[in-house]
Amino acid sequence: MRFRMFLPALLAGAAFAQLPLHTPPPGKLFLLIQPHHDDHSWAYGHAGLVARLVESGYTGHYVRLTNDEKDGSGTWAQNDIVNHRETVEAIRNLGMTDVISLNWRNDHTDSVPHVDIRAQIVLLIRKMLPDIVMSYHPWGHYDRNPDHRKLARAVADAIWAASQEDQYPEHFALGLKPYRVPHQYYSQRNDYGRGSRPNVAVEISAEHVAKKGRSFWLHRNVRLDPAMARRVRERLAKEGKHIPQIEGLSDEEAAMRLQEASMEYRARQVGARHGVRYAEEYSYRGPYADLPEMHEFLRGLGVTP
Amino acid sequence: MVLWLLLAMAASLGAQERAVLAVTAEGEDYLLYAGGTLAAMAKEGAAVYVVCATACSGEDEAAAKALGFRRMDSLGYRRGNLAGISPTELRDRIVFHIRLRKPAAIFFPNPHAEYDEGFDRLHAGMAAEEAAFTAAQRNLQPSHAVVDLAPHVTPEWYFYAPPADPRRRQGEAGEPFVPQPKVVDIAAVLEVKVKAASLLRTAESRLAAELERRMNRSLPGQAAGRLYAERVRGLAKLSAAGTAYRAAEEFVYAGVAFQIPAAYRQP
Repeated sequence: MRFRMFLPALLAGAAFAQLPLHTPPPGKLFLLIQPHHDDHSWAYGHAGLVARLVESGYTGHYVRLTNDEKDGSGTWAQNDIVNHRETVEAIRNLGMTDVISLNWRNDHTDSVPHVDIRAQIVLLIRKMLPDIVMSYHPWGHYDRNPDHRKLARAVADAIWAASQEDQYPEHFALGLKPYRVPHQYYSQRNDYGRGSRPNVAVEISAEHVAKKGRSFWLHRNVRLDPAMARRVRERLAKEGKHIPQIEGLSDEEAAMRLQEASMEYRARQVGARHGVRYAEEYSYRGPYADLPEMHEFLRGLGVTP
Repeated sequence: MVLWLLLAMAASLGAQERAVLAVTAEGEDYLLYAGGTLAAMAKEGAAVYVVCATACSGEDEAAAKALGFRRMDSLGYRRGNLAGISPTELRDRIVFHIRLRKPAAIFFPNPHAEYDEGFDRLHAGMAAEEAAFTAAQRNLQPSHAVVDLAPHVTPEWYFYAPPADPRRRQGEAGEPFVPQPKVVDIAAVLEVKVKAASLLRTAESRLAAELERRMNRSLPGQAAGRLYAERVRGLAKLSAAGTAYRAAEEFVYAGVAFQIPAAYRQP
């Protein structure tokens, strides 16, 4: 029994080891490819890194796999429309330009052929030539959401296929060429089991954290929960306590501030693990990550792998 | 009578020949990640057969021959599209080869490996792992009995993958029910593997073009022609890291003791 108790603690320690601080590369364009409307702005999402990249001059596009019809309390049609509108608002808050929605049915992507999704992403990659692609972790464990798993693998496969001369040769009639995305940042929950295992930490600023928190609650249809703020205040009041920062605010405004505070707390915790004020953790793959056996050879050619 | 005896002896020897089956997505996969271990087995007398899920070429066959292998068969699916075919069809075609060759060991891409961008390897690996299991089941593909292909248990399974996962050497919990890491010394056959890999000219040209696009400049003249030799040497070095070997290949391995708790194994 003692062994069983000890093992998870060891694994948790390994998951939260200090990681190297990573500086994102200079570049022009990134694609953030996610299963759903709000996957970029939750605690393990890419929103802080997005804000940092945009601040450094990047242009960013949000690619959404599904139509999000199941997410929210409205009818499928209502959720589809509202969630799309709120995604646009949330990604613009982070400085991204637009949402490219592939519009597959939410929670039904297991029945969509992998190669169909991959083909769409290959075309986007070859047309836009992103310096960076960000997405869910293609090799992560224990993610129960079918859309997450499906998209993540399609993205990693698309990065390979886009670089190959014999894949989708019809694209070349448009003047497109094989293209290898040089930098990839993957993320998903990393606090259960072996799960997603990050290898870098990226420092983000207080402003980036604030934008991430705001983008989170801008998905009002699914994220903004005034009843939660009301319950918190009621429980605190019973103990004779209160939170000065949300005094006098409506339940809705209080919920926004509490969610922003929660995001700030999470980013601060991650930052503390890596010796900075705020951070996010990623599984980063560089330009030659798929060829570890060639790194020494490439160094001999003056290339940093 | 003498002739009959000679024939019986030859048949008996044939039956004792150790067969090994390697399943590969493309002609280069098994060679890069398991070619040395397989070449050593061939050198020791095993009949090594390769089943290529895509359409392997004459170059691939020449490389297999250079490694001392008996035969390479292609299933003929399109490169990059194994995700788009029926997994059951792919599995059952591999089952056919297992029952045909009756291997003592099977090698296939590890479908559980992390950070492997080769999704053809993933799908070939999933099908092969399932085939290695189901080929032993009498009720699977009963039509095989009509052509005298009997169910077959393959005692040793080698899962191979690019050494991309930094934690690949960490065994997972669950032994003896989960295959465990295994590193194989290939120093004695490294040059054979290098020579065989250098025959993969088409794949090498593809890699050269790909690297030039990524680097945005040309490779020096001599470098383009030795990329696969460099790959093989680089892989051997990576896999030997942390061991006493000079050149190695690494696997996840399920041998004859697999699924037998230690208390029930003979010393």
